[in-house]
Amino acid sequence: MNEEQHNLGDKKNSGFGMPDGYFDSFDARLMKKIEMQEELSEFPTLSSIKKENPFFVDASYFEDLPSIIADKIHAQKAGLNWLDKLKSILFRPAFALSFGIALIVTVVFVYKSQSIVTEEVCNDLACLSKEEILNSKDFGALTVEELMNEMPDNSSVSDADTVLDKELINDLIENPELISGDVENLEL
Amino acid sequence: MEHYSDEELLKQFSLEQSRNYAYSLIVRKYQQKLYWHIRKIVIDHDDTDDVLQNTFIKAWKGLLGFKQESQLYTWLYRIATNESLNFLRSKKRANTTSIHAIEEQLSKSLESDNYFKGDEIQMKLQKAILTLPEKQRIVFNMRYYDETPYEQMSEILETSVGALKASYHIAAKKVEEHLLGN
Repeated sequence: MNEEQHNLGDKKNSGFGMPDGYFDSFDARLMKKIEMQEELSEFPTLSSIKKENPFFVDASYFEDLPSIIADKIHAQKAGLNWLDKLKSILFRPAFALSFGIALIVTVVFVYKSQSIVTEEVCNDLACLSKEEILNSKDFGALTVEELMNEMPDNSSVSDADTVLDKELINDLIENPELISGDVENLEL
Repeated sequence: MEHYSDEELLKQFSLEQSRNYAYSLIVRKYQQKLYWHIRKIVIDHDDTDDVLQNTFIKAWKGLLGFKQESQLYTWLYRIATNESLNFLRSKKRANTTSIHAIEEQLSKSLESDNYFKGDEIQMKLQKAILTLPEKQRIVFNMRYYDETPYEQMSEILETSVGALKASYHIAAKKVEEHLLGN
């Protein structure tokens, strides 16, 4: 095209406008259109259908959506803030240290009280083994009747304990010398 | 609002004082594109609304950690696609009477959809598209309606370009057969 023809074209088109950069991307758009058509060239029915979006939505929908989403996000943030505050308190070093100390003190206290309960309860025949009873020096001074009186109520001890106590009494009845005698040399 | 680049919007979002404003601009910039993307997958407007809102809420939560390894547009599309697929799966779990129950359900909701303005042939085409497996349906919609370049689809769907081309070809063939058969 010579300069004269080029100018003539400009004069002829004067008065008409087009989007900025229309020709800049024209070849790319053209190539894309050709590519799209080639992809569907094997499918004449599909190619013949006018390509359009068959769905629609109210125009106001997109006007309202950003504020609806913002509200939901703020509501979630408020919920998260509460959790964050709780977390910040729980994970504060001073709180963690206090909690650790309190936990240790509690564990020690619980352990000690259980030991005391065990010691307090274990002052009758029910919780002593046969060997412990027979080896006890103080116990040797009791008569059979006194020994019977020392027996705990059956309702408060387990079957295993009751069996153990009966065995012990039978042993003592069969061997009365054990009650006042030397139990150190007794063979069980 | 459209004149803000994604980079500018992300920069504004990273500053606490302009975060809310920047995010409202991001929502305004992408809401329509994402809406139509989701709508073609889940069909019903109310379901689309739910999925779209969840998409933007998830995006808000993830945006501070967004490393810009992919474009914002691609990242948002990926969230929207996953949310749509999760939505359909949860619907499938709720409806276990038939393997094709969800597709039948979508097809029925298409017929009763007040927000469908297509003619008979458009309805036929939509029903044909609904016979495709869900991922193939997404590929078909993105390529056929949105004319999304394969490279961009590859980033969004995390699938190779070759596989996407093959998937689109198979989908178009099935749609053509369905159109001829009905």
